[in-house]
Amino acid sequence: MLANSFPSPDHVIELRGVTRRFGAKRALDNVSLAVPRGIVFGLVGANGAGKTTLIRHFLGLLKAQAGTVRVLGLDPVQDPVGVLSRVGYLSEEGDLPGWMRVDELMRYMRAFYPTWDEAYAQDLRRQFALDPAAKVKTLSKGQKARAGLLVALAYRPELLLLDEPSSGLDPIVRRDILGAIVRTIADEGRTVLFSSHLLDEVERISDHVAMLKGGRMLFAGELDEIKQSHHRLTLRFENELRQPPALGGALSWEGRGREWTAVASGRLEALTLAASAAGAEVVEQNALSLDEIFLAQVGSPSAPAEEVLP
Amino acid sequence: MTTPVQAVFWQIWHGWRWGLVIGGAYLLAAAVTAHLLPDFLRRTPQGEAFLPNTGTELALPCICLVIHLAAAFSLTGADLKERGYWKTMFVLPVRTRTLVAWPMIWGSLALGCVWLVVALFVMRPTGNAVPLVWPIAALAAGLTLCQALSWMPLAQHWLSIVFAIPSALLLGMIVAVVAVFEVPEPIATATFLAILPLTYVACLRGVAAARRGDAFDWRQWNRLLAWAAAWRKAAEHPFHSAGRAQLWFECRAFAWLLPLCMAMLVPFIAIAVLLEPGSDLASSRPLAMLLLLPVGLAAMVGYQLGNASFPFVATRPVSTAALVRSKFVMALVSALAAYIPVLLVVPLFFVRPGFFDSTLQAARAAGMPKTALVLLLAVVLPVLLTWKGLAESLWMGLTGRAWLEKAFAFGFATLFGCGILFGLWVTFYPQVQALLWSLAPWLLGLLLVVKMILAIWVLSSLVRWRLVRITTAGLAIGVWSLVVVVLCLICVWLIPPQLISTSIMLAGVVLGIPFSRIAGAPLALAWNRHR
Repeated sequence: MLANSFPSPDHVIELRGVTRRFGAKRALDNVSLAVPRGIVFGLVGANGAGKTTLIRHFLGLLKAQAGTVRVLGLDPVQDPVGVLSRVGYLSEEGDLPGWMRVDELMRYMRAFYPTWDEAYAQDLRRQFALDPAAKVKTLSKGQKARAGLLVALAYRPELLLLDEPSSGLDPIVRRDILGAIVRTIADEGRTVLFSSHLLDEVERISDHVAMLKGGRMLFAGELDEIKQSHHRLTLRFENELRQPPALGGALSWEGRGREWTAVASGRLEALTLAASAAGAEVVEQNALSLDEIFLAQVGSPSAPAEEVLP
Repeated sequence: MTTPVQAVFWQIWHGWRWGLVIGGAYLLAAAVTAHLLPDFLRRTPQGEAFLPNTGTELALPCICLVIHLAAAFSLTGADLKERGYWKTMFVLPVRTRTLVAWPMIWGSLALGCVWLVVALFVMRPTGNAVPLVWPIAALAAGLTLCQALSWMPLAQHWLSIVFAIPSALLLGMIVAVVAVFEVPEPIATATFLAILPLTYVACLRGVAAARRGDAFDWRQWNRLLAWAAAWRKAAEHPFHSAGRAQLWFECRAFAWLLPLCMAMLVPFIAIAVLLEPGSDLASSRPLAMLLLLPVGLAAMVGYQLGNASFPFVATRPVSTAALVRSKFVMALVSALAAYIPVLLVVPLFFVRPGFFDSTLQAARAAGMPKTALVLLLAVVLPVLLTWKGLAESLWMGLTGRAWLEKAFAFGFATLFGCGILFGLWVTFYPQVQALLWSLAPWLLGLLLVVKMILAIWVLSSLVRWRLVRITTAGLAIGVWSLVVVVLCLICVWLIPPQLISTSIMLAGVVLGIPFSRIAGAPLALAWNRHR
């Protein structure tokens, strides 16, 4: 997925071999990633997988200990003004200052962005039912998320970074956030990258998905390709087996006796051939949802499974 | 831990252990020093005459330990910012009176132990006949008052300050009356002990109310706010620039801190001015204290003003140097605002008999040019010194590293303790003084070299990290040099050469005007912004 020229004009974000440690813990381990322009990119992974660490690298809040980071073709640490003026950011923590009123927040933010669209901002404020005189600290969690979203969207950033935007929020606020993502994409050439635990949401709106586990990138690519490369295979063996059989690409196993179900990654033909070689017949084959892929990948204790290639 | 009481104690100990260990270590060192001092001082000429003062100086830093203990047992959090009883404790199956009583008892016992050690092992061995019992009762009353104020659930948090000022004044006045009029110990002790049931009831009611989710809400204030909100103009006019917006942010978030501290302390100084016996000389001490109080406070609150409000501000498209610039301007606004409470008290000095006439006489004696310069310096210098205190302390807060603040506080406390011991050594041995005077040029030279190396490192790092341009770095050097030259000229003009040699005075000016701590502020912020 990485282009030969670095940074590539087609990619809004490019990472090469980024490694980051916090003490003894390796939060990111040789992560490479390229996010094409004009897509919705979903970043998924279990708690502590490194999603927030990765997003903080995009903003220049963390400096890569090894590797390079380019956002919109710029190094966010060397040129924070150049990057941040074109990036919108909404964090899970909702780090807006509690003492500010909503109208003060909008007035303050407006000063930093020449592209700030006041009419659009007021429209969003009315749509989100935000009282301009209310202090941020008096807002509910959902209202705070809406206020954060408002100020992240009102200057129509080229790249919108959302770190767990709908975590712990009610369905109405989640709908607002998803609507905002869709609207952002409707503006030509804009890109959204968001991390989330809510995989049904990611599956619904993402074009591309990347999955992190323990600081390592398990996979990244187009959602359809990823779904096509994961399968649930039900295998029937001639003899009863006490433990799951060895099958290249298998991420998890369920079953007993002669019939076993495997979640596996790889090309279907190659997996079928591998099953035949192991003395099994494929009796059923299903496509997987992103949720099931996530559970199989993240739930498996092993390192990322190697895909079975022909 | 076998009981909830132990669990509460463990929580307090765990949050405050480092300060308590350092305080305890200092207490031990002070007791050992005070034990060894009498024999030691008898061997030095006129040393014994200094003994009581030395004992008092050794005991003074224990005030920090007392404040630390009061903060720990009032459950204010390590940064003194939290209010109210720990909410996590409310869900434990423990009765409210247990939650309230034990921190009060432990805190009072701890403060009592500190006083006993200070009185028996520091003050009395150095010839200070201090009372033993009533100060313990007074400390317990003070602590429980702090707890009551801290645990009272208030919808308007600032009300706790409003309640705290008269309460502290009242308690301070009782202590003053007891000490000045030498009230018999049993009566004094009984007076302070009589406060304890009142504070216990206040604490109990406060924690019980907080536990059931009630808070005292001053409705008239809310109505006033609603009325003001109705008349308030909406924040419609945009800022002219990002710099203006950031300055507004900094001022709203931090600039009030120093003026608020001053507003809280100025009433006490006003009372001191009014109570001071009426002589013009006696007036000059509280006046100097009043003018220099913001300077002293600035060093303490400066690092809090350095709080970078990250990550909210870190994700704004502003350069690190511009963020630091707005911090410096905010520090100037804060320094100016800190003198507003001072201006309200200064007229009090002129109503004192003889103050105005003696000032006029001094002015005539000094001559017009010097008087004008001194007057100008009296107005400008305190503000500039306050700004300097704030600006040179910002770097620590800008780094956003709590461990650095703790290490710095620990280093400062250690240096302070060592400085006291060193000062004692120098005071009692004239031959050491002579040696130090002979070494002074070398020591100053060494400090100047260290300062220069540090300045070069800061400047080269700023340019290497592209935080400032070379021209800006050159401008910084130019401004610093100009300030140093002007101050040197003023010092040479004002200070007689027989008082201090010119070379030492000039070296003192060069060392006293900070460079690296101010110029290094963008480095500190960049270290925080790009971790």
